[in-house]
Amino acid sequence: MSILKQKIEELKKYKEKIILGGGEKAIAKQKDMGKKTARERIDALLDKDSFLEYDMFIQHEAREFGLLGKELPADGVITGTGKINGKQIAVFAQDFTVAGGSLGFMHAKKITKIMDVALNNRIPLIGINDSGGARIQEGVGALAGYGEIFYRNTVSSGVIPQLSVILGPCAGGAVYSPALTDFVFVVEEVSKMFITGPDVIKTVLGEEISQEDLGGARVHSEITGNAHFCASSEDECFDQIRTLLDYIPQNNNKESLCAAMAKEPLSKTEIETTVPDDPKIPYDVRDVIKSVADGSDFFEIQSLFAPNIVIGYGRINGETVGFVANQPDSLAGVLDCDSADKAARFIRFCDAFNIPLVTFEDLPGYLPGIDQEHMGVIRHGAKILYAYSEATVPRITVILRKAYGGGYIAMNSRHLQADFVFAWPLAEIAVMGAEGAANVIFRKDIADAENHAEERTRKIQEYRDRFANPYIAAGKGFVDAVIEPCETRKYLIHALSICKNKKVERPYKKHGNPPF
Amino acid sequence: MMIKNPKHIKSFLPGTVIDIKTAAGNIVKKGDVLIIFDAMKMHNRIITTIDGKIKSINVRQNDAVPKDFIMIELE
Repeated sequence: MSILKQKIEELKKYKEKIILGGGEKAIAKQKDMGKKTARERIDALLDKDSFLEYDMFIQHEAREFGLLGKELPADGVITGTGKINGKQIAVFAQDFTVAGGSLGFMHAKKITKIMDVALNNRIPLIGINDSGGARIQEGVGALAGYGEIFYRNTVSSGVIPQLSVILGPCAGGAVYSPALTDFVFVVEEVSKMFITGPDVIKTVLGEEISQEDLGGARVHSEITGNAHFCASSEDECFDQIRTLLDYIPQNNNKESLCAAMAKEPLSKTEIETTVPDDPKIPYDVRDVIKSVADGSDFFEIQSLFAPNIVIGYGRINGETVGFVANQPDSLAGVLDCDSADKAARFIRFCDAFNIPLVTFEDLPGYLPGIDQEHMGVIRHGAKILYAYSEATVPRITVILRKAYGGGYIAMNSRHLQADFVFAWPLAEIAVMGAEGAANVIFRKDIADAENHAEERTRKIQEYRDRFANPYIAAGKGFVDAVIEPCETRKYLIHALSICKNKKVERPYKKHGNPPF
Repeated sequence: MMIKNPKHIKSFLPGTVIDIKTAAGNIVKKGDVLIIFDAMKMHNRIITTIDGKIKSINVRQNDAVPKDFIMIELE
């Protein structure tokens, strides 16, 4: 055997050992928890044979607490580059079978190296998290690692899409990397995220709660809004990632947007009957989105969190657009702290990555109440105004029915410099609903009338007839066109084509100061 | 705890019960409309988020109810 051949054999054996990670026993344990191994996850997610691994031979430098000389294959994280849907991506996957996927100094070095590869080459970064947390034995070295990751997440924000996939525990400082990224994926019964776990909470506060109830997939999908996509299995989760990457560009360069073949919607004819004539009757606004989107495909984001606003991706004439829509089927479609927060972050992602925005509006206004006011609906509600006003991507609004007061202004109105505002004939664009307005404006007439109730009803009707329509706003040029529902897609296609080379200059600034 | 109990169907705002679409003892499925509830200028469809059996209905048609009132309880 030549020396080279002998060395190649040694290399193969060395690699085999590393690929086994924490060993067969630990792998069996991982499987018992219903989880794939880190390498299986990369294989399942990426295009076949596209993955190239980096830093397989990395060695930790810890000396204390019995770690000196202890082998931790790949230091508990697999990193590399490959392809998804034929497009380049960078990925890291923590290996729970090696020291519980704990993050030590070299483990973090591997992650930050692949983050640099992603940023320098303008390709999306996908982080698969499955880790017990900081490797305590490495002390401050582990903390340094987290800080270096957070810094890179922040610097990369708005330049490349960053996806976090939580496929195991992700606790303590580790949660802040996902929180800084654009999209967080969770899987039921597998994902657990919290700053302090149930044990600490019990010790410090005496409160008892399970890991699942504290920070399981449903909690983060429905209550906290930390997660964007919830799946029932790892395979379903990987499908969601592939679908998302199909809609969004590789980076913030306009040329990286890629169009698909244009398709007609499937349910175009139903658009007339989707929205009930009576403004008090709710409906599912997603049916309106599907009636204008190519192939009626709509990929919803955060469907379980703040469902009173709907966000997600679809295509119009082959081009990706971000849809934002009030959902009359949930809390009457009001804006509140959570829905404003949800929409604002989505709008900012779309703007950063050159994705045009289409807004469907039908809302009674902001949600009144002591708890909303005390939760800060002023500063949270301001986020949506800021996000729309700041966005320089094409912005088109279609007013379906109700557009009252502050809600009307907030939902990408002409006054926030929307490019196009269309209204359906049922639209009611007014300072407030007819009842409220009539009670204020005609207070004296109602008080002076012999029959208050009758006069009130008459005045409400009078107000409704005169003002609850789209023509006052259209008369002032705030609405560009009042259109038939069946013309919506045609108008959207036209408007998007007009805005194709939209260029808006903003005054120089380091960055704005949105009401975080 | 803070976690919502899906067996308690509550009013999300003060409002008026327009219609009750079920009765005590009925078996209901996730997504079924239980109450039509007038609030925020809308006849809101109040649904159940779980499968279950109606234990009690604590409101009547045309009742004005405050916020967070348990209108229906599931077993």
